[in-house]
Amino acid sequence: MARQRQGRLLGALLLLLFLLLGYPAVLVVEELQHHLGRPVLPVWVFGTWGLIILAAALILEQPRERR
Amino acid sequence: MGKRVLVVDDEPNIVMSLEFLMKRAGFEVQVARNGREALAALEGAPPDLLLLDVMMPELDGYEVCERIRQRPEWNATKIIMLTARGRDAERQRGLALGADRYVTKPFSTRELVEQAKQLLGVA
Amino acid sequence: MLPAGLVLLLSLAYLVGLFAIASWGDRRAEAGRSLIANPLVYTLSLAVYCTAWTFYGSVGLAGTGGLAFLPVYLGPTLVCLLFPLLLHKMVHTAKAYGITSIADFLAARFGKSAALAGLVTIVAAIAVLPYIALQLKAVSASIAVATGLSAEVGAPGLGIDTALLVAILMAAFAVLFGTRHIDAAEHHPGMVLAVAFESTVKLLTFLIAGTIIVYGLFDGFGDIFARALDAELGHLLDVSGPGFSHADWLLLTLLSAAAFLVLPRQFQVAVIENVDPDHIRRASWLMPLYLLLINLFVLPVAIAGVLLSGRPDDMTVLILAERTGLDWLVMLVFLGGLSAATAMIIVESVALATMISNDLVIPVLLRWPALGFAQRPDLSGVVLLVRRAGIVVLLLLGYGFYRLVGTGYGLVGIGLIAFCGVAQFVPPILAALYVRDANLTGAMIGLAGGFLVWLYTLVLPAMIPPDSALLTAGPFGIGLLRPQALLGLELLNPVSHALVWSWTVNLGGLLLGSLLATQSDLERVQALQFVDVYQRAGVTRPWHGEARVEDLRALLARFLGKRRADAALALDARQRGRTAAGNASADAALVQLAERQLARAIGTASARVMVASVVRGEVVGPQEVMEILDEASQIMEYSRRLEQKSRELEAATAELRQANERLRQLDHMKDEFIATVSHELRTPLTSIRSFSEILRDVPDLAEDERAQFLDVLVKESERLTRLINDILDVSKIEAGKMDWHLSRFDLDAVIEDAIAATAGLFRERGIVIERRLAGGLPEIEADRDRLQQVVINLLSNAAKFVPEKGGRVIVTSGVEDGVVTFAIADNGPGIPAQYLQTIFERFHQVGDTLTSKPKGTGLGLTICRHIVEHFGGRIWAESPPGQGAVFRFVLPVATPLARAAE
Repeated sequence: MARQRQGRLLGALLLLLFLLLGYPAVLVVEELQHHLGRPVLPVWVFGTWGLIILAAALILEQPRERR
Repeated sequence: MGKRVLVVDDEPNIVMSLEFLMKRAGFEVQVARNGREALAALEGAPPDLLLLDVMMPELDGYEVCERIRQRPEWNATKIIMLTARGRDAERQRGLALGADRYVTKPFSTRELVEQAKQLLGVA
Repeated sequence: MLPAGLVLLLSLAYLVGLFAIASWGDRRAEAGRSLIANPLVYTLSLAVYCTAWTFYGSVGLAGTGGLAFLPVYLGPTLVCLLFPLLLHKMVHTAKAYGITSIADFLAARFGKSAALAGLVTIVAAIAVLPYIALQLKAVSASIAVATGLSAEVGAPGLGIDTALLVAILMAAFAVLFGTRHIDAAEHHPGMVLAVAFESTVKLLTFLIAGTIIVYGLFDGFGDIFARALDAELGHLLDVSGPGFSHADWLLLTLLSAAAFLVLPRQFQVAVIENVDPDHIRRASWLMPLYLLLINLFVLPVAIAGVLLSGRPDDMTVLILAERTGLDWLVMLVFLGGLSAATAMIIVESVALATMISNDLVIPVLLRWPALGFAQRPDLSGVVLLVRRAGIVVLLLLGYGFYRLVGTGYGLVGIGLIAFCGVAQFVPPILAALYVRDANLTGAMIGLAGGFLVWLYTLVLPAMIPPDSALLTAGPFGIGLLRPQALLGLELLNPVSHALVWSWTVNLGGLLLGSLLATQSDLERVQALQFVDVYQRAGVTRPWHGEARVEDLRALLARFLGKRRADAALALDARQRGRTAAGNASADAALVQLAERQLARAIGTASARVMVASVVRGEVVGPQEVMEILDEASQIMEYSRRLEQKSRELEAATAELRQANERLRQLDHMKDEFIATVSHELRTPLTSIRSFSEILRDVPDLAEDERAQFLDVLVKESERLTRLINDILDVSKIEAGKMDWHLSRFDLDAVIEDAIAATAGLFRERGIVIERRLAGGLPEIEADRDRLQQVVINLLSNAAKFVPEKGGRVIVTSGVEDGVVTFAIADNGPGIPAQYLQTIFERFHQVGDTLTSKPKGTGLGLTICRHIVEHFGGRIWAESPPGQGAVFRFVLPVATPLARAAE
C-alpha cells in the first residue's frame, strides 16, 4: 500500500519535473529573463531542480514498514 | 409566613392539579408555563420550592435546573423534578444537575405533597 | 604553471593512494566488514556518471551554449525518480539469475541468445570506445595546461606520451581490481570504494575551485551574471541558442536519462555491484543532489572564463585556477579531473571486458571444435586471461581512437555520440522487464537497426569533413538521405536528430519483429522469469532431463576451479540437507544451480550450452513451457482471486458497518419512539390520577371545582383513548397490517361527510367554513372511511389553530392532470418554513412552539400521510407568510383499466 502510494507520488513528481523544466515553461522563463535583464533562468532551473530533489527525499525517506 | 411554591409545566390540567394540591397544603403558589417564564419568575423573588416539569418547550427542565444551580442566591430554592420519562439515566441526570427529588409521572399526590413538606421543613 | 615532474609525481602518488584504498576495500570485504554496504557509497559509485566530460567539458560547452549543458544532468534526475521501481526490478532480476552485464541481461531474457549477447557487446564497445578516448584526451590536455607543455607526442617536455601513460596505468588498475575473480557477478568492493572516493574528490575539488573562482576572482554569482549581461553575453544565460532548440533540450534530457540507465559502467555499478536493493531508495534522491551540486558552479565558471580569456575552452577550470595564482588549487583541480577520468575508465573497461570475454570470445572458443577448447580440464585461467586482455586492448584502442580522430572534437560532442549509441539498449531493456510478448527477433532487428541508423546519422558525419558532399547533398545526391537531415528533418541538432531516428527504427523493429515472429519455447520461459520476477524468482523450473552430480561438478571445476566448484556444491548440499553423492543423479534444482554458477563466470548463453553438454534429454519443450505458463497463470489467478476476495471482504465489511449503523439508528429511533409514546401516555394519565386522588381525598370539594375536575377527567380519558387508537393505527399501517376497504367514490361527498362530522366543533368556536368544491369530480379508488378520517383530521387541525375570533377555513377540491386535488386553508398563525416537512413525522409537535394550543396526539398528520401515500397520492403543507397554513393532498383518478377489472 505504502509502496504504491510512494510510486504514485514519484510519478507525479516526474510529471512536475517535465512540466517545470521542459518546454514551454523554460521558454517562458527565458523570455522573462530577456525582458527583465536579470539572470532569472539559472535561478529558476536550479531552484526547481533543488525543490524536486527535496520533495523526492521527503517521499522516499518516509518511515515505512520493512519488507 | 407561608412558603412559596413555583409550579412549572406546559400541561394546563397538570398545572391545575398541582396548584390545587400545593394551595391545599398551605403554600403560596405561582405558575409558569415554560422554562423561560420560570426563570423570569425567579428573578423577582426566588420561591422556596420549584415543581419542575422536564419536557417543555423553550427551555427544558434540565436546563432550568442547571441555570438555577449556577446562581448562588437561588441555592436555597428546593427543586422537585417531574417527568413523564422515567428512565434511570434521566433520573441520574436530574439529580446530578442539582434537583433535590425526581418524581415520575403519574405520581401519587399524597407522596408528592409529603415530599414537598419534607423539603420545606413543614411538619 | 607547475613543474612537469611535480605533476607526474603527484599523479602517481594519487593513483597509488587509489590502489591502497581499493585494496583496503577488498580486504575489509573479505574480512566480512564491507565498507561499501551503505547507500551513500552506493550513490557515490553511481556518480561515476560524472567523468572528465562533467569536470571539464560542461564548462567548455556552457562557454558557448549557456545552460544547454544541463539536460545531461536533468535526465538522470528524471530517471532516478523511477529508480525505486525500475532499477529495483533490474537489480532483483540480475541477482536472481546471476547476470554479469547488460549484454548478459538482454541475452538471458531473450532465450539465452548468444547472438544477441554478441550484438549488444559490439554495439556497446563501439559506442563507448570514443568515450574512453575522451577521458584520455581530457587527462592529457589537463596535464598540458597544468605544466604548460604540449600534449603532442614528441614535443619537448615530459618525453613521454601522457595519454599513453595514463592508458597503461588505468589498464593496470582495472586488471588488478576488476578481474581478481572469475565470478563476474561477484562484487568488486575495492573498485567500488575507489570509485566512491574518486567521486568525493571530484565533487569537493570542483566546489572548492568554483567557490574560489566565483568569490575570489569575482564578487559572487550576481557579479558574474551582471557582467555577462553587460558584456553582451546574455545568451550564455539562455537555454536555447543557435543549433540548440527547446526540442533539443527535451530530447537530450531523455537521451541522458537513457544513458544513465544503460551505459555499461552505470549498469555495472548500479546493478551488478549493488549489495542491497534497499540502497536504491536513498540513492534515488542523493544522486540528483550530487548532480546538482557538481553543476552549481559550471555556468558562472564558464562565464568567468569567457570574460577573462575571451573565449570558451574545455580547460577553463584549470586556466582560471592558474589565474588565482594558487599553485595548490591548480594541483587540486588537476587531481579532480584525473579522478573523474580514471573512475570512468576503470569501471567502463571492467564492464566492457566482462562482456567481451563472456559474450564474444568465450562463446567462439567453446563453439570452435578445432581448438579443442571445450575439452580442456581447467578453463578458469583462460577466462581470466581473456578478460584481462580485453581491458588492455580496450584501453589501447581508446588511445588509438584518440590519436587518430579524437583531437578535433569537443569533449561533450564525443560523449553525446556515445550516449546515443548505448541509448539503443533502452527499448529492449524496457521490453525485457515489462513486455512479456517481446521476442528475440524483435530485439535483434530493433537493436541492429537502431545501431546502423546511429552509425549513419551520427558517427559517419563525425568522421568526415563537415563540408563533404555526402553531408550537404546526400548520398548520390538524394537530399532526403542526408545523414544529418534524414527525410528532411532539419530542425534538430545532430544528436537529437540521431536519437529520434535511431529510436524510431529501434522501436519499430522491436515491435515488428515481436509481432511477426514467434517466441521459442525457451524464450517464453525466460520472458516469464523476467517480467514476473517478483513472483517467480526462486521457483524451480520443472525439468525432464537426466544428469549426474559428478558431471556437473567436473563442469563447474573447469570454469571456476576445483575449490570453488566443490564449495558451491557443498554449500548447496548443506542448505538442502543431503550429501551430494558422486553417482547420484542431479535434480532440477542442482542443474539450475550449476547453470547459474556457470553463468556468473561465462555468461548466460555460454553456460546454457555447457550445461546442455552434460545433461541428457533436458530439452525445453512445449510441455515445459505449458507447465510454466500454467504455473504462472495459476499464480496470477491465485493472486487475482486473493485480491478479489479481499475486495469482497472490504465491501462486506463496509456493508456490515452500514447495516450496523442503520440498526443502531433504528434502535435509537425505536427507543425514542417508546420514550415519546410513554411520555404522551403518561401525560393524560398524570392528570387523571391526580384529579382522581384529589376527588377521593378531598371530601369537602366545592361543587364547581368537582364539576371542573370531573370534566378534566373525561377529557383526558378521551385524549388517552384517541392516543391509543392513533398509535395502533400508525403501527398497523407501518407494519402493513391495516385492512383497507377499497371502493370508488367522489371526493366531494367525503368532504361533505367530514364537514358534517366536525360541524359541532366549528359551530362551538364560531369558525366560518367555506366550501369551494368543484362538483362532478372523477371517481377515485381508496378506502372511503380512511380518507374521511384524513379530511376530518385536517379539519380539526385547522379548527385548532385559527384565531378564537374571526376564525375562517376554506376547503377546495378540483381535478388536474389525472389527479383529484384537495386543499384546506386557515387564517391561523401559519407554520414556520423549517417545520413544513417535519410536521408529518410522528409526535413532531412535541417540543415545538405550537403546544400552547390544545394538544393533539402528534400522530394525526402521520396517519394522514400514510393513508394518502398508500393510495398513490401525495400530501404536503404550504404556509405563505402571513396567510395562515394550507394543507393539500392529491390522489390519482381511478383508471379505466381498474374499472374494467371491477
